[in-house]
Amino acid sequence: MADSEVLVRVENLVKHFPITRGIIIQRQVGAVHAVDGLTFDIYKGETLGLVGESGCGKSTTGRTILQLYRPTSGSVHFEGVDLVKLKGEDLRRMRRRMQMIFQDPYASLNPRMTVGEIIGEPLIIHNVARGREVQERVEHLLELVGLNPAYANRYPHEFSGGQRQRIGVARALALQPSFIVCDEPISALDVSIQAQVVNLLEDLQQEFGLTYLFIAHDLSMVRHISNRVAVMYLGVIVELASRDELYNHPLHPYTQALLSAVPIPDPAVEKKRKRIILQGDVPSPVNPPSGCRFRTRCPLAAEICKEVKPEWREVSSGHFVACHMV
Amino acid sequence: MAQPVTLDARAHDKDALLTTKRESLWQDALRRLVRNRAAVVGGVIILMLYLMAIFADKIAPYPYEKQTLVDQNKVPAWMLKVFPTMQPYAKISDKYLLGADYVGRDLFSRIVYGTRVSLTVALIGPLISLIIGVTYGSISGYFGGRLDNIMMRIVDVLYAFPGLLFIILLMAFFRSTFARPEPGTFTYAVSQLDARLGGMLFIFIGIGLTAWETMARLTRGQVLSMREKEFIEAARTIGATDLRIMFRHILPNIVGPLVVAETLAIPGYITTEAFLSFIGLGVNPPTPSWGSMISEGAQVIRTYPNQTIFPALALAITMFAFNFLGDGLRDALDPRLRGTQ
Repeated sequence: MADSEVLVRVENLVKHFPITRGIIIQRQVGAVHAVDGLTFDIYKGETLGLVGESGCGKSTTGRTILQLYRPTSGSVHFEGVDLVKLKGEDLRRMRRRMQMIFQDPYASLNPRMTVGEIIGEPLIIHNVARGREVQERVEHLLELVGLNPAYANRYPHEFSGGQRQRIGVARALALQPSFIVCDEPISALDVSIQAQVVNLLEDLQQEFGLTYLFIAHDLSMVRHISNRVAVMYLGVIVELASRDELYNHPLHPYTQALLSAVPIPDPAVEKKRKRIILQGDVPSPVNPPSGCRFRTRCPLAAEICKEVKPEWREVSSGHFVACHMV
Repeated sequence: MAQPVTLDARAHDKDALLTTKRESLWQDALRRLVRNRAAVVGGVIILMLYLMAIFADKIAPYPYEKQTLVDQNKVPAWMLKVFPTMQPYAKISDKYLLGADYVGRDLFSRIVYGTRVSLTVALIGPLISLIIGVTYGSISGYFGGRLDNIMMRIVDVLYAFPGLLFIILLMAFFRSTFARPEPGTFTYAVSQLDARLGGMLFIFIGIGLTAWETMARLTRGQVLSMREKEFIEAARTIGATDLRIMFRHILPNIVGPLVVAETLAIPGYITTEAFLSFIGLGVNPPTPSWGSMISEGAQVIRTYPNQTIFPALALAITMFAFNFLGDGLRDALDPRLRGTQ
């Protein structure tokens, strides 16, 4: 995978949300360090899984890459263009190439628009199609995601969660993007539907050569769909490796703890399995720990972890980790 | 796990197509509204009132300003059965359906013409507050941040402003008979316009000054909560402009509560007009307004109660009609709110 073409290059991406106080004259009293210096590449045609617990900045990362949140600093190169520098009309034009699938299929579709209007809207906005052609493209897209084309003039509330998520996928595909951020696209769905949607995403990837950034917290689902996996903790990526490498040889203590939480469907093995149970809670991203972010809960923490921020380095080919103890 | 499940899903979808019938949220709301009897009655009354206002000159048997001094305070015969206390002194004349006032003008005709004032107010009030309030609130809520803060503080200040006092001052200034303004000045133009509108100009100004603020606040709150919805983010992802997000995605989703609030605010506007006319600051005589008729009737309320009761009744029926329609709209647009205030 390492020789492939880079589609998205993220460098030192930082997103801080300011905390302000005061009624008319607002002064900044702090910041939520949601994303704090990420550097990674996404290769063309791959699926990069992004895992981490709630509130670690996974979704913010996805949204900041797409410039839905403007980053505090850093750069995002997509197809050779630095998105951070783009503004207004130029950025709007780039949106054709990168799309997003949202977590909650109940909140991500406008209840006052028909399915046809929802899926056709990107086509109209970007002037890709017009009139009768929009309708044809919508019908084609519906078929593509496994829905009946006759559904175009129905409203979202008439559909189930899985069907709605398919509509969301069809909307994301409408502009034929090359890159899609999937923000926990299956977390809100029934387990039986999850597999359907994941398979749909895989089929579409093969058909159109799509590149995914797949955000999730379900480790087994990430393992199933991803080529490479990045593990996030409190606004930073602590480890990034190819799927098998990461699942078989996790290096960072946080990754090890995370993976040890996955149950094994075999009572005999499960009984002997040793879980690494982390102490304490995730520290507040308003005031993250000095040095290594994970040191407050790390079983291996030493003095150096408090003082020096661990370097993001490649320990073996394609296996990146940020830890003093590795 | 890697097997495509899409075929199954497609088969399942076909079945669903046959059983569920298509219905937009608006159609659904309309169906619920029609089923609400009070709302339908309210709506029909409002419709009839508007017809009455438009065709007042066809319905009213006499011109509203026609004084027949020999007929002053006359009552029709049936009125004595309703108010037997009038027996000893009342002069009977069946020329007038509801009687005549103290200068012999037909009460019924004046009530019919009075509809024009009240229903114009019921139209202008919402128009002003929708145009100004919704625009103001949308901008404030959508762009948020510092702009929102400043805009809302301005509304707070205006909210605390004594609107009634302001209208009284305006009228004292522009309607002053002591110092007639020179033709060609601004003051002159305004007083001419006021006279041309039968004295309704200041009522519009008074309602316009206060009505939009509530609307702006409501709109801002609604926009604020809608703005955070995921489908707004989705619209941004597909490259929608702010204008498009506002008109295609936010407004259609908040128009329900806004319409309900506005319908329920209409009785307030009508009362304001009636109140201003009652204290003599409303329409210019002889233009009839229910408020000024009640005011005139109140002076003879003991001897000729009919002169107060019928305009008051007209006012009450109108307010009930708007309230019923507003309640019905609220229940229809958001059934979860049924039975709440």
